Amino acid sequence: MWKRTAPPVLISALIASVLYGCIQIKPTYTKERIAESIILLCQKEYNVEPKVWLLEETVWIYLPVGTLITNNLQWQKEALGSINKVLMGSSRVILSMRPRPQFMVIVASDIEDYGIDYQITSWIPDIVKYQLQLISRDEFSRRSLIKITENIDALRDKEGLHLAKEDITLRGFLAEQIIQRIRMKFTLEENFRGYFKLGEVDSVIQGDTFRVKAYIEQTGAPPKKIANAEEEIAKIIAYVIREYEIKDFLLADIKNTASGQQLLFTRSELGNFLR
Amino acid sequence: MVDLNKLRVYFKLHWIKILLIVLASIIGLFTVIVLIAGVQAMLNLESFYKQLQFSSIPLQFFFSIVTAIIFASIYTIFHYWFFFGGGMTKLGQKKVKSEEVNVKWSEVIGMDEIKREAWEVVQLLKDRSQLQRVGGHVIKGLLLCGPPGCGKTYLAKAIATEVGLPFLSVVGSEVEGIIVGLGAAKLRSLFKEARAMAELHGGCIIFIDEVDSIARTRREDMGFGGQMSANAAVNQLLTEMDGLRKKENNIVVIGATNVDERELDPALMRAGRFDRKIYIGLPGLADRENLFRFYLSKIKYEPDIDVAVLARKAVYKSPADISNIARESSIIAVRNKKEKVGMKEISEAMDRIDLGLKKPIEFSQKEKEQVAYHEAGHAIVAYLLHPTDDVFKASIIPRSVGLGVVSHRSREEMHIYNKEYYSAMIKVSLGSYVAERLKFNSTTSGVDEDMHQAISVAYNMVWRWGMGPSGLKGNFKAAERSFGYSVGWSAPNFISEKTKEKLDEDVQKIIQGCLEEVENLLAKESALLDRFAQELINRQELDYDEIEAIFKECGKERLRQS
Repeated sequence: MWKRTAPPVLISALIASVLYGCIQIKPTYTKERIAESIILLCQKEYNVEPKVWLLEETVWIYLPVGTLITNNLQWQKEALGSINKVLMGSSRVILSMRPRPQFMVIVASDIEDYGIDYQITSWIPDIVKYQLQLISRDEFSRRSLIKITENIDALRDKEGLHLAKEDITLRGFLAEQIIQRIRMKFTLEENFRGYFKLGEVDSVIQGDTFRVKAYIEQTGAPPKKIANAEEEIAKIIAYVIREYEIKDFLLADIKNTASGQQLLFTRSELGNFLR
Repeated sequence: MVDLNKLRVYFKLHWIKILLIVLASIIGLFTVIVLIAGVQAMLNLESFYKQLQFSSIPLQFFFSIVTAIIFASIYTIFHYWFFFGGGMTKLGQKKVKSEEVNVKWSEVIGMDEIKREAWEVVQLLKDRSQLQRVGGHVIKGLLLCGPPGCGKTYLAKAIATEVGLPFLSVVGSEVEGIIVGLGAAKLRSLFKEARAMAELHGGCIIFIDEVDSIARTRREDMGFGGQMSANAAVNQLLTEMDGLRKKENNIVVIGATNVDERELDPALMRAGRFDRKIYIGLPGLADRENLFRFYLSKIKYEPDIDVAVLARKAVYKSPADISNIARESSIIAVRNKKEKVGMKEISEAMDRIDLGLKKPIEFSQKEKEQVAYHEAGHAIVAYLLHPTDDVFKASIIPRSVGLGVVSHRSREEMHIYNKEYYSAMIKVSLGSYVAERLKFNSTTSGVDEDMHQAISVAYNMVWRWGMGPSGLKGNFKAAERSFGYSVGWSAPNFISEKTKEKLDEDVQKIIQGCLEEVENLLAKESALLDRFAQELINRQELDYDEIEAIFKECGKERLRQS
């Protein structure tokens, strides 16, 4: 009798324990102790000592490093390593808490030689998607805002006092991302690099309108599949809207200050670019 | 206090077991440690990663089930196909409709008695109701025994055509395979197919050619599995033919075999399985005439061909041999650019079949002489001393059978062979040896086969048939053989060494006696020997009429049995 009943009992027990495990997993960390948790984890497991602040929905993490850039203007390997460790440690903590903040900003500053701030701003759901391999590494790097600025106040600032910490909004984040995407497209991509000259780019989301102002001068004949710079910008906006599921927008206003051309696209017109 | 000696001995005896236990323990311990470490690591993960792991379990579980189902299905299908569907060496059973077989009853030439018996079977199969009214059962099996080429398969096809039932034909040697149990599986598949056909058409005939391949007497397996598989095939056949099936189906099994029915499993030979046994032997004179008429009617032949002469020349020839002669003669006619087949072509065809192809060997004069005298010795002894055989051909043209040949045989089929016949066989074999010695004062290795023949016949006369001069009687060969007495390779010997010596002496006495007689004959007939040999050297080949002419010229008559 035991031989007949044992297998179904064992299988049921296994299934039940799996289900229980899935349902009952408690978050490892809490939002109230987020700073403490990140600092402890980074110290214990990665041997780095960041400074952490929570500003409403944005976590600011400051990592003062000795030297960011070498004399040959190359990234210092150790510094990059430390930044990665802080990224990993803080991601682990933030992803394992409920509720999670919305944004994470990591600032690594060169406090000894040049006074440079290397800032990475990420939207937490993007980090989740990357961890689940729903987006590629390339796409994740396009979504994370990277800013490198010279800031003399960074020198000898071990506490991060020079940082202009603020709570980041999604609109602001997306506007910056659009700028970054435009820069990456027209300066790095092969089909655009030699044919367009990029100047100043500005983007803002005002109410239900995306406004983008960019200086893009056509210097050569691009490949046939590229229509024009304005439409390429429209594609970028359309993509961002789709990926981030922006519902409350109606218009995209794109102005090329080089040619003077200004284009307006509605939501459905933008949708056509993705078909 | 531990006894070290005892421990050492124990270790020596059981070291493999100990080693296995130790290995199993290490593996077990390692597994437990890994499991514990894994569980601990799992528990120490942050909640996000824990959730990630747990959430993938159902998906992994689902894919495992799907993979298991796929592999289980493939395995089941393969297993069924291999063991029950015939597998890679599929039986090659042909599902043939009776009209496709199409061998008319009238096309089965000769064997009138056999046909009468077989016709009865046909009638029973056609109309079972008649038999069932009387309360009888229809036959389950029909065994056709006989030498090869006598028309067993042909008769089976004729039965199938007349009865009008589907005909499944298989070859027994294709049933067994490398894997044990494959033969039984194939038979199961075959009978399953037959039952389906019987249900559709009201009956089915299964024809198993070379049935002895799967129907030999069951024996104990010697440990290699082969006999086990063969036994399983026999058992399967027994069950299928007369097992515990409630439903009676009109399936008849016709088996054909060249071996003696005593070599087949007795359980198969009993009533209820192979109910009828029909022996199909070589055709007689009248049947051979009809066969020649039949096969020649399919080709263009000259009207002067006498089938009676051909039938007399074709003693001991099977229907397949006669068909082959007709076919071969038509090829020779084409080669000779003739429109019709004549006696010359048929004669050449018979020589080619009996004696083999000519070899393009060039003899020196001396070699030609040697071969001529060798063959002349055979021919003269056969003509003058053999009580039943005629000399049909003497040749010194090299063929596949040898450098020369003398073909002699009885005019009619014989069924009883006496001591004089066997003595004559020995004398004819020794004729070549004596002729060489008389002429050349030396002998050659060409007598190898002749000596083998002589001693084989003498051996059988003494060891099997009680014809030895010392008076010892009995089948000493059967008594000496251990097969079937016990399992294993050694068995008791029933004959003493002294008896064996005497028997061997008898063999030599017979040979020496025959040798003396042949020496006396050929010494006396040395002129005839020279004449015959010279004719062979001149003409290369002598046929029946030419041989008769030579002997008549020399005033000699053949010996006739009184």
